[in-house]
Amino acid sequence: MYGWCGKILYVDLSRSKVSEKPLSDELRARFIGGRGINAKLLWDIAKPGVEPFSPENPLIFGTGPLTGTIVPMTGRATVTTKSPATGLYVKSSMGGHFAGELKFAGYDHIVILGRAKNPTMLWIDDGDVELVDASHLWGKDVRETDMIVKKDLGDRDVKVASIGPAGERMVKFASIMNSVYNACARAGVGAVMGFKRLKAIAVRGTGSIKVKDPERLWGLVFEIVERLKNRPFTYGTSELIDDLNEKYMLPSYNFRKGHIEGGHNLSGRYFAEAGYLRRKHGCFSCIIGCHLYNVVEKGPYAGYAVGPEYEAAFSLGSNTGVTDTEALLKANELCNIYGLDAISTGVVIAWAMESYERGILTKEETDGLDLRFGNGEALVKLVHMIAFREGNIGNLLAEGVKRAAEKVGKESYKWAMCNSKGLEHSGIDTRTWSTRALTYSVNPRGPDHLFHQIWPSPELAREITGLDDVSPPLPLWAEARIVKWYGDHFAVTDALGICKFSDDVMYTNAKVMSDLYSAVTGVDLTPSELLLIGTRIYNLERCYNVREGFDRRLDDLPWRLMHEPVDWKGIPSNKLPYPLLAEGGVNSPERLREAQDEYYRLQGWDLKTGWPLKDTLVKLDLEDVAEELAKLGKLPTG
Amino acid sequence: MRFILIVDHEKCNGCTYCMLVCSMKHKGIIQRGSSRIKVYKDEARALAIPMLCEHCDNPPCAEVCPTKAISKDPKLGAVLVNQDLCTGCGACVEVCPYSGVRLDPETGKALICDLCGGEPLCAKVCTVREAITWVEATPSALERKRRLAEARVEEFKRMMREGP
Repeated sequence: MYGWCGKILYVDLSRSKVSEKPLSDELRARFIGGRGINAKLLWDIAKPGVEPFSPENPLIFGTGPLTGTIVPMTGRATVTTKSPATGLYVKSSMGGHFAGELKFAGYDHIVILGRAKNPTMLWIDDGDVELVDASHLWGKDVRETDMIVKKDLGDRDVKVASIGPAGERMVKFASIMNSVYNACARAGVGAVMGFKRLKAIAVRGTGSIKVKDPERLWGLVFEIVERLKNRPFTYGTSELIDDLNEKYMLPSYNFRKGHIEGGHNLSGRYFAEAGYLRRKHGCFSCIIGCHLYNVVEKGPYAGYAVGPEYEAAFSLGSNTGVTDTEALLKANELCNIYGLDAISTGVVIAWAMESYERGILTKEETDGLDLRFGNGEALVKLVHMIAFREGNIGNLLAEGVKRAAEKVGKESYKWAMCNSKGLEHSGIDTRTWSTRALTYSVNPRGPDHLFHQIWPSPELAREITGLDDVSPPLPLWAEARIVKWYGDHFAVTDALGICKFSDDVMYTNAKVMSDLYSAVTGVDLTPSELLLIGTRIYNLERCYNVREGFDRRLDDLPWRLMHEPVDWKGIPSNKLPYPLLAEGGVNSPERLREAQDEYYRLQGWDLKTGWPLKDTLVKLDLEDVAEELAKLGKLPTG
Repeated sequence: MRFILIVDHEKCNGCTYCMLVCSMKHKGIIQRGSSRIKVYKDEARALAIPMLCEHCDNPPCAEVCPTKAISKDPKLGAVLVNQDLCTGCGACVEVCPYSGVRLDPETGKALICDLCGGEPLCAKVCTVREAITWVEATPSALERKRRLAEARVEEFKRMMREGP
């Protein structure tokens, strides 16, 4: 087999058994790998209505057919499960070196079922797989865990994916980390791992991977390598901090403002200027390497501090009003080693700060913390309390912002930055960017940026829409087309194992992706055939949500973004981000609904329920999925 | 003009991509164990040290080889292994001051960088970080190579002392 290893590893933690099955031709042809095959495995294995925290909920790891070949920037692994945060589908992906190691060990996917009696580690030593006791690792942070496992096994080259104290305590937004600092963190994948008492997965792979057409692949690869040389982002995604702050589009103070004084202190460029940045580190096969490795020399926050990338710098920084660099670095480092989603952590803390300033959370309820915006010390303390579920406030916030707001009541949902799905919103103000409003609302896991990254150049926007004039606001049908275009590309990218930081060098270039796919696997697909698989994956994910109780009402945005304008007081009008600004500075529910109507029509989804139509699923070769939905009475015929 | 390979571990980001292309080029499959370059890593400290043959003027590996399988290519300056003569005894692995020799996991024979016959692929693909470069052998470049190799060996020894 070329590209793929051809094997799925099955682990039953309840019975302490491991087994393997071949990766079927049918799965590869229909869903490629990674996110695609993961989604189908979830659909097939999880029973309808499965409790996220139950032995029957599978935790699935997946890699793509390009990972472990000579195609650069293909170190992504995808983790898929039913989310304890949303009760819906979640896939979360991570860089690092885990995916490559797993391929060399001979596995494309791992399916983990059951729940161990005691803390357990899965040890994959090429084809020798065993479950070993991890009692001595329980309670250790991610960094300690990684180092102890390597010492125990006497091999620094082993790759470890693990959870920290937050995952052990089933914090609803706990992450899984690998290579110490690479997170897969959204919607509680680490909490599911913690429920299963699976502390870590260690992998050593010494095997090999073959490609079908080496000569053709070398040609493609040299071109990619040459083009990657000219990528502009010296400090990774954190460069966006300055850019968006200058445009008054950086969500700040719990999305009340679009700008923060001193925002530069939160950017990678500043970490370099101020001498924190020691070096940059790369994921598997990535010749760029955007991970910022910082060190704080002295003071209360002295120590290693890796990252933060843009999203963490927004959520823990501008969004909490904190511009103290060292407090940000510490808060982010704690998210890393405790195993917390930095986006959700910052968003839930900002909600608590606003609640505190409004007098809805008292100092007693915050366990004495003075939770004013901008209090870096309180930020750092609170990250710790959430990870360990300490005190009233730590326990409250560990449930995520939706549940916290429900518990506290008093209309605090109005500043809880999640949508009805229950996932904390990531760092783009969708009031200033209407296409983003659409994409965040329809994203199957919740309002964030990793199912469609809407950032087309004018040339690309023209190509997608066929319009000559692409200056915003675009007609709604054109916005819908852009959102679907990105959604399809993202699904393919995640299925192949490519990093989205490759931009037009790979991930927004279906021609390049299909050439790579053909040269590696020997399966010839045209770009449009490849993108059709993307559409299939995306619709399958939607169908999973439909099966688990989703309907159109959950395709919305946080209350604040629908009803309150951004506070631009004191900002000169020539600085405002018009023409990207949505009308009136808010996303009116009516406009969003119209945009969604266009998008649903384009996708072939029922306008009333938001469910895929029968014809749509048949056309996408998803008859098996359609049949199951029909039995549940959830297959509209339109 | 002769060219030389210069490795600056401070610039290495630890992606190990060079190992993948090296094995592909020489073996036709991707298998890190058969790469002629190995990146030693300390993930928690984000350290990465690529170790490979420095192509010494008087290679100690050639001296100790009992079957005279190792020789120096006078034109390119590369240390070459005659696969027919190599018995896989591992004496070269032991003696190399740069920890630049390994044995192939399947054939058991010595793996030593052959400079890809004059166009080293590891340097060709390390375009962003330029941790590995293929440059003209000017006196200053030769001096830089010597200095960086020494520093690299020091760092490598320190990493090995500390253990995993």
